[in-house]
Amino acid sequence: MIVAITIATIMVFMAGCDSFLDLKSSNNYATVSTIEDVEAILNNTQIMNFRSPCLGEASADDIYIPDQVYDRITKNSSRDTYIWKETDYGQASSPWGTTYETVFYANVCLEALEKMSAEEKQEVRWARARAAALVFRSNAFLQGIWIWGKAYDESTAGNDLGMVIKTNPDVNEPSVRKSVKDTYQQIIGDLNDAIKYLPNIAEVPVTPSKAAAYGLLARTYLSMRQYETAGLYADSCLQLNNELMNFNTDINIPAPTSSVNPFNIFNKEVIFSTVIGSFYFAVSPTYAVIDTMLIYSYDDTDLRRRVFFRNTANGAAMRGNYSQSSSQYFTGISTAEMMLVRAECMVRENFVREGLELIDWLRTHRYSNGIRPALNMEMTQQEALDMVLVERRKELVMRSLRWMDVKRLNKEGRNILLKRYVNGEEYLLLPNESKYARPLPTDVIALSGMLQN
Amino acid sequence: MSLYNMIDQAKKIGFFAYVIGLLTTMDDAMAQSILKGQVTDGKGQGVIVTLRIANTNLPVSSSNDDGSFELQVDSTKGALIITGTGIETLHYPFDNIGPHFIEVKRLSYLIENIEVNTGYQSIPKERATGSFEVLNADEIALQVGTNILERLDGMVSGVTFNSSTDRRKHNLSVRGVSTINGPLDPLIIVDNFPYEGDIENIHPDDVENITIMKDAAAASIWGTRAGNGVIVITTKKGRANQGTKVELHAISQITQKTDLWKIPALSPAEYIEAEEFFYKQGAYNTDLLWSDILKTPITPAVNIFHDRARGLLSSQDSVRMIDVLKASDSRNQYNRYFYEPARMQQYSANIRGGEKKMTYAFSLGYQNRESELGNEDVKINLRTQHNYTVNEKIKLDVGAYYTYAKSGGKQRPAFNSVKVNGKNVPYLSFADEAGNALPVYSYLRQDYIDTVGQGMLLDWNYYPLNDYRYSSNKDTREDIMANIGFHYRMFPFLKFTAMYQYQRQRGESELHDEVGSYKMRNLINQYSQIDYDKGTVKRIVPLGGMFSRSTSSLWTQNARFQADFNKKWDRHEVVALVGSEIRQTNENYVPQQPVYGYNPDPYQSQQVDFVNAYPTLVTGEMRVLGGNANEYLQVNRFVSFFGNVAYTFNQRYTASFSTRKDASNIFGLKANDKWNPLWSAGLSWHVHEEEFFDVPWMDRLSLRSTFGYSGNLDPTKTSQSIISYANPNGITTLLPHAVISEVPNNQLRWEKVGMLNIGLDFAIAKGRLSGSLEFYRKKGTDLYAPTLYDYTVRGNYTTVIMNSADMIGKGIDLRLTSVNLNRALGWRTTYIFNIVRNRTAAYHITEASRLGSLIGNGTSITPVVGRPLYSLASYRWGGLDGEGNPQGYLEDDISVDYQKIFNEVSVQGIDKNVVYHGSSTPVYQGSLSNSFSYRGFSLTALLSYRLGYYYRRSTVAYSQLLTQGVGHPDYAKRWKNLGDEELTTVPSMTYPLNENRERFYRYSTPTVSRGDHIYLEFINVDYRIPTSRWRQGWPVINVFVNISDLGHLWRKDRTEVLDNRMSFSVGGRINL
Repeated sequence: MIVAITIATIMVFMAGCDSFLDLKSSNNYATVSTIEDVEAILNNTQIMNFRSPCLGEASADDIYIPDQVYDRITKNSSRDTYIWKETDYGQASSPWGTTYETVFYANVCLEALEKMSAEEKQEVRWARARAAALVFRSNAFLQGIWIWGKAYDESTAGNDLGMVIKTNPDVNEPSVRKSVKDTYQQIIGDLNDAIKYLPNIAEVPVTPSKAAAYGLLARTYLSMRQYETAGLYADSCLQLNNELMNFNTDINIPAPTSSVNPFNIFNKEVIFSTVIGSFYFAVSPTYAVIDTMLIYSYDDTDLRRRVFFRNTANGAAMRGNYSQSSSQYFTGISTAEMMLVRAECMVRENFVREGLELIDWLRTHRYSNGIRPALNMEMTQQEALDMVLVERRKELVMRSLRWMDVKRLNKEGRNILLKRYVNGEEYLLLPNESKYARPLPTDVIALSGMLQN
Repeated sequence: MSLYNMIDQAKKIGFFAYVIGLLTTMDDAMAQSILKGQVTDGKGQGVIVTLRIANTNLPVSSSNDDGSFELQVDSTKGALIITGTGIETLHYPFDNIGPHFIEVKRLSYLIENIEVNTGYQSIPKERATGSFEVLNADEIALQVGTNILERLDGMVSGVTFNSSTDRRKHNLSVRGVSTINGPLDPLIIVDNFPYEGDIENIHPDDVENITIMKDAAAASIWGTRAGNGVIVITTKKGRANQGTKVELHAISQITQKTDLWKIPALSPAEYIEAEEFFYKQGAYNTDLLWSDILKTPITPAVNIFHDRARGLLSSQDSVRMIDVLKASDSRNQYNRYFYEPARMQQYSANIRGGEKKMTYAFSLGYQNRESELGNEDVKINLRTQHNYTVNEKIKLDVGAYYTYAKSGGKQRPAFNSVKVNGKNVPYLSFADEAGNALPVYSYLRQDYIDTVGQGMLLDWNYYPLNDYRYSSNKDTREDIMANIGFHYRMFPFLKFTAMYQYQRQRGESELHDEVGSYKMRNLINQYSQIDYDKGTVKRIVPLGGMFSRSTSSLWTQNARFQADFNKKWDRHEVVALVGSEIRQTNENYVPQQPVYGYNPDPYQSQQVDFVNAYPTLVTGEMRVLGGNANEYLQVNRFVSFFGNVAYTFNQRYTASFSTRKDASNIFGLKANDKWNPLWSAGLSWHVHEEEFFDVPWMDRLSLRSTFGYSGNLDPTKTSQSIISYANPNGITTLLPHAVISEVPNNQLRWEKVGMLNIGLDFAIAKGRLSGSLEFYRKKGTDLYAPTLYDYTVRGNYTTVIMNSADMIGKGIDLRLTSVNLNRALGWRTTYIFNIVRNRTAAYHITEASRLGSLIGNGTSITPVVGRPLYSLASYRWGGLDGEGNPQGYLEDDISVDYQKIFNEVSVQGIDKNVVYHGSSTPVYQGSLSNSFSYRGFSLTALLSYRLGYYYRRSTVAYSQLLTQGVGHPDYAKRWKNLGDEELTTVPSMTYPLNENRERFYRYSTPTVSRGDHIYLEFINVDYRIPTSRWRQGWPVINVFVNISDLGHLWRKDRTEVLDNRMSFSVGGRINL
């Protein structure tokens, strides 16, 4: 009888327990279930925006590292990367790891969105969140393919090793490298899918917008050397925002040695804000000095020389970034970059004068008032292209674009030879050398069995 | 009884002889008054006892082997007090000189009268089938300290202290680990319920006993949180018909200050030598460059070298200045101005008693500590516990425990906390010869501070000597725990109990920086907006101090319903209980935004702008003031059902079974994961009770065994992504954002641990030697282990947690107590010997299971198949080469290509160039305690030992020396000249620095040492003042002296210099 009573009590009690246990245990933790949750993940700018890989700039020729600074670098992988030597890239916090963390975040969002109810899927916010996740993921793939893939070549892209196209957050799925072509197709497909759901312009440019997606497509096609399309997308982007800062009036130029960043992070030129937030390799202004020839290429009245760079005993160091601090390199999309893409593509399409006019428009915002050397509007197409490319390099210094530019331009026979001098030794990177596809982390290769570059 | 014995005795010695003897003794008694007799136990065997005549000063005597005794008395009337090991103390009145045939009652050879308290029931240890250890109040009182758990150190078989502290709140473990990545703390129970508050709240003098549950029985009684053992703390309670007992207790302790010369560091001369080397190599060029822009300071010696190099100093001046630096040792400064011996005082008063229907206990505790750096804390405890017997059926108990604790103060800087631009510098001076404070340029350059601001700024110097006086912190904690219990005995064999406990702990943390502090002056200056033209300054941070307060609270409710069944009939006995438990814990943390321009009296504070960015003075960088953390709230709920039954037959055979099911709302669990059943079963057999058992010298022999399962589901490991919301990130967007804190992994399963325990309890030679020997084996399957993975799938994390390992743990717990002498001089020895062996049995990820992954410090769990969970391996060492470079092996060849060596070890998995050392936690450990007593004196000394393990020593790392100023005495042993490679293993100092070269040496074989040692834990001398001799009913007064942490008596490897801070305590106890 007693046993029966006890059991009965327990049964009644148990029935009441399930609701007792349904209470959410913490105000700080949540499963990703609502649109708010997804938006909160996408708002994590540290991971979605401020995670551009630094390996491109660490490999490219906008910077060099003086010997005495090089000697002070203790990290071997940093020293080796600088001279394109094979090394141990194996760490999760390496550019590969951080790139794929952005991808993972985007995939968590996409999966959560997919699981929502049909009603929720009707909401504008739902479609926007999904589009934003696609843009972030595409941007990560695009930055990645520039570093770890060979330059896009229509004839070989189907076989060249590209990125791992990870489209779900399943940690148990084995990684497989897709081809360069597949990678680009994925990027283009996702961006096109996203565009229609995005707002024209973002309130804060960390959020993906139509302009941002157009900008990314322009970059994508430019790196594929499909210049006509690239030019059209750059134009679409500029239709939504074409504002430029005038360095004469919009900027307070700090003292020549000051490390103050003269720019605001969200200035009016910023269409999509991404930066290199952390440096796995020695490329921050603490180590890296801007290439001397590049510095000399700025005219005396070109304000960019004084705005972008700071004089140090070692040489000129970067300080002017469209970011929070003078040591975070901006890698996002600006109106000026889009004008340069547009100009380059126009010149390539033989609209030389139109292209040059656009360049001149940009120069009026960059040179000291009234003392701007006149542009010869009668240049040949080749002269004009050379001129636009020089202008591109001067404007987009340390934007994580140079590595891609060198790769694509060498495909066109520009023969850009990269050289490093370290303690009297010279290191060369020949045009189109296979080392232009930087190696994947050694441990990833070992654990996944994927092919190394 | 005595008649039977007399006849029995008479038979033995012959009736006549007996009568004659009787007559003669009577004669003698008249003349010399010799009291005679024999003491026997219930079975007629003689017992050795100590005999004393009550209320006299006559010498104490003891009986012979056969129990016979002769004792001088000065009166034929009086009372004998008979005491002895394993017997109940007897008060035996006599009115003639005997012979007296006295029967004493044997206690069940020490062990059997011990009750183990599982938190659900109190059972005699003899009936327990599981593995329990009990520490009583006397044993607890042997050590001094504020933390009750620390009293277990060296006193309990199977409990290890000072193991690695990762993932642990308490620094102890029961029988090693049984999980790789799960929680490692044992469950702490205080008076029936899990204790969620700060363990420091419990005053050690309030504790009656501590039960440690070591085997599967623990988990099946206490559920999922008990996988690492359970520690049940029972507080002192009154007993019925006890009368009033009062205990007063006072202790004062002083602890030596840290010996700074035993902390690895460089002398000023060595440090300057290294700085000179680096300076000449140009290693400071970047620092000097940044110093120009950021105004960051350069260390004094480098400044001198630099000034000399630029011709700003003559060579004589620079040599003189360097000599001054070489002669000033920061350690002297810290030692003189900042370090003081630590003090502690502890007082308690305890009143307990009981009448027929009511028992009570009150206590009051007070404790006061001051650390060596001036941190003070005060704690007050108040406790009350009452039991009422309402009638035969109903009993009621109520109690409350209140703790108030306050800590904080103005804390002096710890060694090496005053830095220069983040570097340790061993030649700093904090005061001049007259004792005046000297500035240290820790954060900004002197020439900058001296000139900036044209007098419009606050003094920007940092004076370590006084600075701490302007900053204080205060943490207060109040904790109230109240309980009520209702017991209803429906039938003699059936009892129902309802219990409820409420606990609320509230903490408050305050920080106050006065305007005089460097922190405030610096903040105010940094945000000063100076207009040099107008000569005005606008202060974003107002002149004044800063104050902030955060609060946290913990709120727990527990309720339990339990039915106890207890029935004996014929030769059967059944003890069973069944019940359920429900509990809720709420945790809450509320941070507060700091208040600026603060002045406490008269109260002042000013509004500041927490939103907009302002240019800071030194670099012009835009910064936003303030920023705060999120409010945090957590509610955990648990529901449990449990049952436990033990059946004993003929007082010899016991079988037990217990089971428990737990559920909780912990985040992310799916409904069907919420319930987790655990069980254990056990058997025990008292062999000595058997008819056939005929070993006269063996008093007790029992065998017992349990087997059961415990499990562990780490609530954070789920099949869904879990995000945590973080603050709007300052300047960027001000949007709420989330971090993905856990990776979804739908392939995760429960961890499962099966544990077998076999125990043997024995007592021989009339209890002279007793002890227990236990063997256990645990097998954990599907354990969570950090697993290297292809981080393409997740990014930025090197490992993920998977059910990837199995482990096997085996061990032996031996405890021996021997009564070596039991006369006027008593000597008792307790010896504890534990073997803890564990190894990873399987690891499903082959790539990660190589020996190479054991190369490290051995301080975290690294699963490698066949190896202990904590273990240590090194790179194979090939000596130094002729340039002082450390050499390793590639395949079979000597090599200095460190990158290739690392690759070979980590990628190709060649084990031959990895040297496996062994376990990095002790395999053999235990203690030896000796107690001597003579009259009122007693002396106890405890030695502990740990054997069979390795550890990684620290050594010099030149990159740390250059960038952080971290030195190590190995620096002096470094390779300097050709030929040194024969004498030393420490690589030469080189520049440029090579990270791989340092890493290789750091983790190669020469930096590993054996950790085996013997340590003298404490010596305790106690004297009982014989006040009762003066008058009956006088208080019993004990005074004692305790010295603890006396240091190592033996170390297998003495390479590393170790500091131990000895503590000296004196105290007294009064029992009324």
